[in-house]
Amino acid sequence: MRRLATSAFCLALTAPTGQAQEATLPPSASVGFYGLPGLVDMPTGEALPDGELVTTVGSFAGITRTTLAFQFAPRISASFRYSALEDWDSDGFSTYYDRSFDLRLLLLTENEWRPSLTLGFQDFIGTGIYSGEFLAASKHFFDDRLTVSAGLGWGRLGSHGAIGSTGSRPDRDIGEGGKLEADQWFRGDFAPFGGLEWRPIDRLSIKAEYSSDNYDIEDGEKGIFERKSPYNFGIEYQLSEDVRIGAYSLYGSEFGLMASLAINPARPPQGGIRDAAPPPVLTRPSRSVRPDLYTVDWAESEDLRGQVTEMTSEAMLEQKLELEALRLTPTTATAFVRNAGYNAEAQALGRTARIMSRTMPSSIETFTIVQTARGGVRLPAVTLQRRDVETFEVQPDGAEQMQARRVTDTPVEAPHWSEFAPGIYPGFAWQVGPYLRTSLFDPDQPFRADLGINLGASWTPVPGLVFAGSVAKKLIGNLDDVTRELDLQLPHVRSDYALYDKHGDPWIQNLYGAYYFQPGGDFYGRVTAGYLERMFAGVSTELLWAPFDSNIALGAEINYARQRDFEGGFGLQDYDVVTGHASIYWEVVPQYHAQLDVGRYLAGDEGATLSVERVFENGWTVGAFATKTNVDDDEFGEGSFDKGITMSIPLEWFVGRSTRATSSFTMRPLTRDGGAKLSVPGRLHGIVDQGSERRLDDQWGRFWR
Amino acid sequence: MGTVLAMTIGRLHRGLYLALAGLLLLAACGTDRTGTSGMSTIRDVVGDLPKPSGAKPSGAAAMSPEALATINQPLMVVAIPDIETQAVLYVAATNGGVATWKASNNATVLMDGPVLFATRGIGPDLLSAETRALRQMLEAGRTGQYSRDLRYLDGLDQIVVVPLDCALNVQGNENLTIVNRSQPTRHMQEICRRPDGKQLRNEYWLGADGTLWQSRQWISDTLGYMATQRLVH
Repeated sequence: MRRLATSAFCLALTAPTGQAQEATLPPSASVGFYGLPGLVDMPTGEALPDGELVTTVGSFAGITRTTLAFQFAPRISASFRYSALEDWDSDGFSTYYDRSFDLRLLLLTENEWRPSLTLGFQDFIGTGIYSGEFLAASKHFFDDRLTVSAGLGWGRLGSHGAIGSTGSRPDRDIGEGGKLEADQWFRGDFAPFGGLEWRPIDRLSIKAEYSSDNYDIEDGEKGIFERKSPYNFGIEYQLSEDVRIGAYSLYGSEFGLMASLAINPARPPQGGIRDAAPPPVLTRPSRSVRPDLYTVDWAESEDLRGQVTEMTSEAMLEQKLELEALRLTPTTATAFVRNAGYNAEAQALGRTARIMSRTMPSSIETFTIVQTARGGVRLPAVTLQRRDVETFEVQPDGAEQMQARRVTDTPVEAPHWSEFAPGIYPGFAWQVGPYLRTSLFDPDQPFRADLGINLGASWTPVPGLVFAGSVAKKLIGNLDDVTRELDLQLPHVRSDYALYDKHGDPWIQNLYGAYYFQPGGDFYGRVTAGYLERMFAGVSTELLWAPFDSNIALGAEINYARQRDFEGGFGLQDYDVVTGHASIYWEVVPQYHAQLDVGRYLAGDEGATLSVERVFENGWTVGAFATKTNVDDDEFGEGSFDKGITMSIPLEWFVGRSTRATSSFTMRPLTRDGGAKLSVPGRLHGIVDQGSERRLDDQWGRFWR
Repeated sequence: MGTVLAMTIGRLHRGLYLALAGLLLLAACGTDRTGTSGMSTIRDVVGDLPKPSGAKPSGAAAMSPEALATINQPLMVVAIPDIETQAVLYVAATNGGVATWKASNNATVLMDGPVLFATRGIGPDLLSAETRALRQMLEAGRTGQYSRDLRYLDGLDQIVVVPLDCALNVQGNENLTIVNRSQPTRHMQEICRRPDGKQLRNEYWLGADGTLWQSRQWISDTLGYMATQRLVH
């Protein structure tokens, strides 16, 4: 009755979503038409804030540049640019599409008496229409109201008003593109450029610059626009912390517009994660006060043990966790837990510990929590003392104390059949949801997409054994109207993607059985057989050695794959291949991860893939990869070798609520057949990495959240 | 104009972020014992978006002294003006002198006696606060100078310690009227300076037995201050 009276009056005590504070503005470096710190068309010596990811679209004279720039480290930034040049009329296209990569190094940071200094390489591996190098310096004055920048440019950036020359710049041998053109760097004429940015009020910038780019091709040969003057002017407005727009007068003849969106993993749009409050820790009366509570008779009773398991299991479900099994001794409890709800592993641990404090008999002094994944893979075990859980819930440095006191160890023995929670095995699950697939950068149509529906199901009869499959049906889209036929020399292991879209709808995305095993210690194993991906079926085996406390893991994967037919059913084509890799996964320094795979690829070519990623503490990753195999550039086709950009963003970062869902992208400027890898569902490293000490530590602050 | 426009845009593109999240994830539904599919998360969040209008429930005002007289467990009203919200909380647990006060929607406020220790489930929460010395001073009616830390999580989930330099002084004795009942209290004021120069002013009204009858205490930049009033002892 009392409880009723209370809850009847209780109201919500919650910040509505989106109440993140209007943070003080800005001022990160403003970007120019190339999407990197710049004035209008010229670069400055500044860098973006660390981790900043800026997307910029700028257009003038029928030239539209879309740039994704990333400040990979405080002093290193990289960007990918896709440009459309109207009326270029080359190779039979009226609009020419160009891909280019830039790299910038901040050599000196600004201080009281010196400017910042940046070394830049523009378009250093593309087809080279934007290629140029520069050295630029910037200095802020009058409380950042005025920024003065000046620099020296080579290549394109030294094409107007040259004041000297460093040898002669060799012509770029474009070939299939995609190569470093180091012999051009800082060669040929060089010319000065520079300008001012004035901020009369916080959100407004007025820019004026002198450009050293003569637009030789655009103004001359191609006649896209007339370059009448080297002076450019612009006015920019910061709409919000993330969005900036600008209008410009360029080269005395053209009007331009630009917009940029800046996001940063350190700046979540909702201001942080807001989950429902965790259950409070329940402290036990001391042994001297209630000795009866500390008896261990319960451990003898199958019935009481079952009750403890059931109670824990129910309490965990309410916290978006699933109890897979519970191992009890009179003084210890080991919970095998599936973390269904939390991107932060530490938060799942903390909530499990809180629940255990509420449901475990008082005689239990030690909690061991084993996270399980993919139908029973046991990740490293974390052991906490119950007394610590009780004490540090309410200490100011409670999180730090728990971190110092937790003990992590290699995975424990698998649960005995009697220890499983009811209803866990056999497990059946299905899901239905929409999918979005895109195809970028086809010169006929740079953006294509399909929206459809995807139905998946899985059955886990016993721990470690998973049968799963999914089918998909397109609802709307234009991926199937790719008409471009390529004359390629390697087996068509990836380049027939359009035929799959054309002929296979609906299709079986995958249908397979997977067996996970743990031979002991830090070893993990997997065998997967069936229809593994849309283009290949086969058998895949993998072994991984991944100590929980090491920054290195080693893996090996050997697969036999046979190409599937285009119809998306069970049919197979004749092409088959044995493919596989030895892999090293290495956290070089905190947040910077490298992976090297050496082996044989789908087209039978042999070589290596190097991936470099920045992994932020909150789970954001941004990286790039390149694969070089023993096919020469002609054989590979346009682009010369396989490369791309990867990004993965935890959904919780967007929505401000814990969820394990993550959206991941891989963007390749070109899809060819060389250096292609089999895509196997449920590869081990991604699963096992969740249990590493690094993952725990990265978000340990969420233990008590 | 700039601010209004920026705020509109800010709101617009937070909505955009959500839409983007929905699209990017294309979250699914299915057998989901734990309610953790991406779709259910998005649904939760959309459900939380401020509603355009509607009658505002009035927490403490809705309680008559008669209704309160029937309740014999501690109750406290907490209001957070910056986010225009208030709730009545009851004690869900205590641990080592720290009480977990809980609202019906699973938000909690942890109090070390009269001093705010932590919040959970409200917004960008206060992870923890150093409270022990301050509590003793408040309960004993002592004044003094001291430093204490607040802890938060930043956008990358890293613990940020914010050290405060504080002074506690006595403002005098005051009689408060709470739900038609007069409560004699001692009014204490705590003035703290943050490293960034911001000054925080916390106020505490304590009964002779140390009960906190009323207070105003700093939570965080996003949530601002909370105001508390004890309804049932």
